[in-house]
Amino acid sequence: MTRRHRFLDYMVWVYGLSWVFCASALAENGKMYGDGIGEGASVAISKLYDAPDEHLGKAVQIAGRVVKVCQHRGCWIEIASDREFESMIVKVEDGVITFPVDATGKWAIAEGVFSKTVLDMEQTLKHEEHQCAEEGREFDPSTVTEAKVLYRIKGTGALIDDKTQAPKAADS
Amino acid sequence: MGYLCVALTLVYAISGVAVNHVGDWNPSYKIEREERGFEAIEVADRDRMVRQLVERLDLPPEPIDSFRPSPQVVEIFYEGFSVRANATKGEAVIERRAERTFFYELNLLHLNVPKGAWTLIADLYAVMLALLAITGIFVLKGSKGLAGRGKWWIALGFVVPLLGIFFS
Repeated sequence: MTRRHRFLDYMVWVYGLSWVFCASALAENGKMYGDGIGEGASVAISKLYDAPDEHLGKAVQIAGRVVKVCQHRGCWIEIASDREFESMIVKVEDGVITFPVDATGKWAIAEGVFSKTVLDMEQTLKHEEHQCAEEGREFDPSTVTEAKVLYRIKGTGALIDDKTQAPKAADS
Repeated sequence: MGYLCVALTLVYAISGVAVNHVGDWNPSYKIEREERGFEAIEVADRDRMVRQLVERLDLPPEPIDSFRPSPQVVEIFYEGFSVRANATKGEAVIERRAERTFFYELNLLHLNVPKGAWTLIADLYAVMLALLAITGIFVLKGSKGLAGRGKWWIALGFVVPLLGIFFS
């Protein structure tokens, strides 16, 4: 075999392999993220807000409609609660899990550790200002009278379904 | 082996630059926003507000779902786009998302989204790169090789990551 033929042979292999792996990559996209979902206790988001201390530090599984995704890094998703005006952010480690922006509007089951962050007054004011800007409301600092507590899930895995319906119902 | 690494090196190099600037853009998706005004509607139950917004913004009649983060704000979801409307202000933002051709696939592989078999391929590629780097040191002989100025270039190459760590 001449050097030219050997080179062409390599290139055919590279080309073939790249297509095989690109195809498998695309086929698997949009389903499981991180460690996926296990048998963690399924909890309604409203229950987490009603009795947060019961679940703090524990692995929980929540399900709901993805209403927002981190637009740059895909490092968090916001899942709508079963109760109006409520949602829960599932934050994952940067680079470990990257949620696709087009997950917005899809159904998700996410798993992770339920955690609490206590903001000081300065952080609360900034947070509220940001929330008001997001919701198109006018920010009035005088309405912020006490420091806020934020609840989040430190996500370890998720299943985001391409279909519009829930793949598995959460405990409500 | 060098030839085998060409395609993957280009994948990681191009995607690497794209992902480095993640603070400035989303390297995998195009996000387009369109602002629209409409005649304000009253705050009511969610279904009623969605029906009215669909009509006033001339949206497709059957959204996937909707959500209200606050009484006056309604978010309506469709396949590929969503609408966020402030009912009382009569302001809406329609956000359309689409995968960036070429970059989407490259970033998918670079960020190891597929996991499984791709992890093995990426590991093998990393080993091959290391082998190329090490064997490459001994390719040139004489004054241009390791015994000559080559060692100084290698030393300079080590300084770059060390400076990066030092100043980070």
